[in-house]
Parts: sequence; C-alpha cells; structure tokens
Amino acid sequence: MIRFVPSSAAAPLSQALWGLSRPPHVRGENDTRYLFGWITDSKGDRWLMVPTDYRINVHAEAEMGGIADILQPWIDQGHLPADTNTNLAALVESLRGQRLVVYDAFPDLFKQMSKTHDEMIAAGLLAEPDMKPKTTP
Amino acid sequence: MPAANSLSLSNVAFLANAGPSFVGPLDDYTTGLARAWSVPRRLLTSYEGPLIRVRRSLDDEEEDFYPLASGGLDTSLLLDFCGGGDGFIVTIYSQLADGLDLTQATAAAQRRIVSSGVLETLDGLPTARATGAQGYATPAGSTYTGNVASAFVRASIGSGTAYSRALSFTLGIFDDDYISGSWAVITRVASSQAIGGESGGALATLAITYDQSFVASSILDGANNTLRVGAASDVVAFSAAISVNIALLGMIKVTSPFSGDPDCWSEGAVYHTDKTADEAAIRAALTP
Repeated sequence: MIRFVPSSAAAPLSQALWGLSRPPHVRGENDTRYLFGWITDSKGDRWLMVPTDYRINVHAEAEMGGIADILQPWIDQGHLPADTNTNLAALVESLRGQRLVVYDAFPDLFKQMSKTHDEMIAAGLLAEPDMKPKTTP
Repeated sequence: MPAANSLSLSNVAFLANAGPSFVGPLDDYTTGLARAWSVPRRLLTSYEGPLIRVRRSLDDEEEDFYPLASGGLDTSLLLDFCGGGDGFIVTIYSQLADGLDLTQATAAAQRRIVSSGVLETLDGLPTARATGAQGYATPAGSTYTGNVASAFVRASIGSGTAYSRALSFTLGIFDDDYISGSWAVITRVASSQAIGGESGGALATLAITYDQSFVASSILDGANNTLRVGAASDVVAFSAAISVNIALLGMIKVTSPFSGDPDCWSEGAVYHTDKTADEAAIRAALTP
C-alpha cells in the first residue's frame, strides 16, 4: 500500500533517503537519485508517495546528514522528540549492510499525518481523473 | 546514450558478438522517425549502444545492458548481474542515440525486468513490468510541436490496472497524472471501463484482451487522430491547427492506485510524420 506522507521537502528527502542505499560518492552520473516519488496536491502542498513495505539496502557507508537536516526544524519547533535524529542515526548504524523497511523508520508524527489514496481523494487533495466513456465519435 | 565510462562485461559481450548480418526491424521505416525505444531488442542497424540500464536489488548497483548479435537483449548477462534478486529498469535508451531516453530516477517508480532471478516477459521476450505506480518519460524540453505525428507501441494492460498509459500524444496541456486534451495510444481508465484512447475526457473503447500483448498505432494527420488496435479503429477529429506536444510521449505510466494484474511495456516508436502508408508494415515490424 502507498501512503502519502506530507513533506514540503519531498525532493531532498527522497534524495537523502536514497543516499542511505547509494551514498552520493558511490553513484554514477546516470544512476538512480531518488527513493520515492512525490505529488503536489490540489492546494499546492507536496506529499511523498511511500510504499509501506518498500525495503532498501543500508549501505556500509550510509550517511544520515541530509535526513537529519530536514528533520531538525521539526525538532527545533517541538513537533518531533529531541532525540529523533539520534535514534534514527542509531537505527541506520545498526542496519549497515542489512535491509530497512523505510516507512517503519518514519517518525510517528509523519505516519499519523499520512493518508491513503482514498483519503487523499476524500479530503479533496487529489482528483480522480475525469474520463468518461465517449459519447460522440 | 550514457557517457562513455569503463568497459563493462556487457560492453565486452556486445563487441564480441556484434556481426554484420543484423537487420533492424525498423530499418526500412526511418523516414520521420523521432523516437525509438525497446526493452528486448535492437530496432535499428544504425544503433550500437545499450538497450537498457538496470538496477539490481541485491546492492542497488546499476549497469547498462547491450544486445547480442541477433539484436536481442543479452539476458544471460542480465540474469547473472541480478543474481537471485530483482532487477529494475532505470533507463530505456533512445535507439536514435539522441539522448531522448526514457528514464526514471526514482527507485520506487522503476519497472521490474527480473523478479527473484526470473526474467519478466511479454511475447516470450524481456519486458518492463509494472509493480506499482510507475512511469518513464523523456527529458524535459524535448518537445515536438506540430500537428502531424504517428506513434506505435507494443505492450499489455493488466485487468486490474487503473489509469495506465502506454504512449500518448499530448495536445496542448500536459499534467503529470492526467492529460487533459490528449490522445493516449492505450489507456485503461477504471475497472468498469474499457481500454482505449482518451481525448479531453472522452474515451474510445477498443477491444483489447487483458494481459495479452498488443501493438497499437495512433496517427494524427493534421485533422484527425486514428487509434488502431488490431482490426479495431477509432477516429477523433481535431482542429488542423492543434499542436502536438511530444515532450513526454513515450511515457509508460501507471498511476495510483495500482491493483490487480500488472501491465507490461516492451517497445515503441514515434514519427513526426503521417505514417498511414506504412502503418501496417510498422505494426508488423513491432510484432516479434
């Protein structure tokens, strides 16, 4: 299942998450750069599209820097616990060379704010494509 | 084309097996040819580059894969590369070597070509199989503006797939998830609706068997757009002045929600000319 996780920093976050599997210094010019895609809703806000069972390899030289930078303002404003980055860094450290279900590592606040596709439509944030059967040749 | 870099195993295999006897299926139909991509095979004798770039699930390393002398993708090297894991297509290279590759830089949106060490196939040949909301596009800015164009695609549509688009003309406005005022070569809109083309919200219904390969053609001749799948056709009249935006033509797209049987995309070609005279022959050339 895909959950839509709100993120004004969707692109850099997606890039930073992919960096856990393929740090920039081991990537080629034409290689994959992002982990998850994102959409812009009807109000102009961005949402990361996260398959809840998607697993990545945690590279032996994975770095948390980009993710920590994105989360820090949330911590500074009191939305996330002060030890969020410390705990995430410890998780990454413990999983080097192993697999990580990325959604499981998202802070609980982001999971609570996330929505399914149907919930996005019900909230008026996504429109069903309006394509009706053709009535004239 | 990728930047020249180290000589990989697949490079070596290609050079060792290249021979003069190969004849590309589209060699006789290059007039006006503007786009040509194929996952399973080389379409043109003039093209000597890789067919696809693949990321393996084992460690997310990526590698380009080339055709054998026969023109078919070197699947032995591909399966060796993927080991017992999965392989995902990062790039389907333009066989016109013009950089208009179909690319997907986001891992979760890449289609699968190897599943647990087994090749994904359509017509017995390698294919790009959807496993979620996934699509590919040509580079931004690679726009063709005109009112005459022809598109061909070989693909399959799964019975459970919603909002799938194999190849489309974009007439005027383009939106990433929904094309307004467009004519898709093939689209499945919802479980209760048939497969066909769309035009400004209208849907042409043509007979397609789910999960089976088809070759579709769509020809915009300046006044009308004809969508043809097998023996069935549908024609929609457009203003002769309308322009075709082909920046993202060639898209292999499935939007969320994704459910049921996956769909496959194998190859496609686009012309900036009216190929009505060669339509049947090109369709046959794209039928392996």
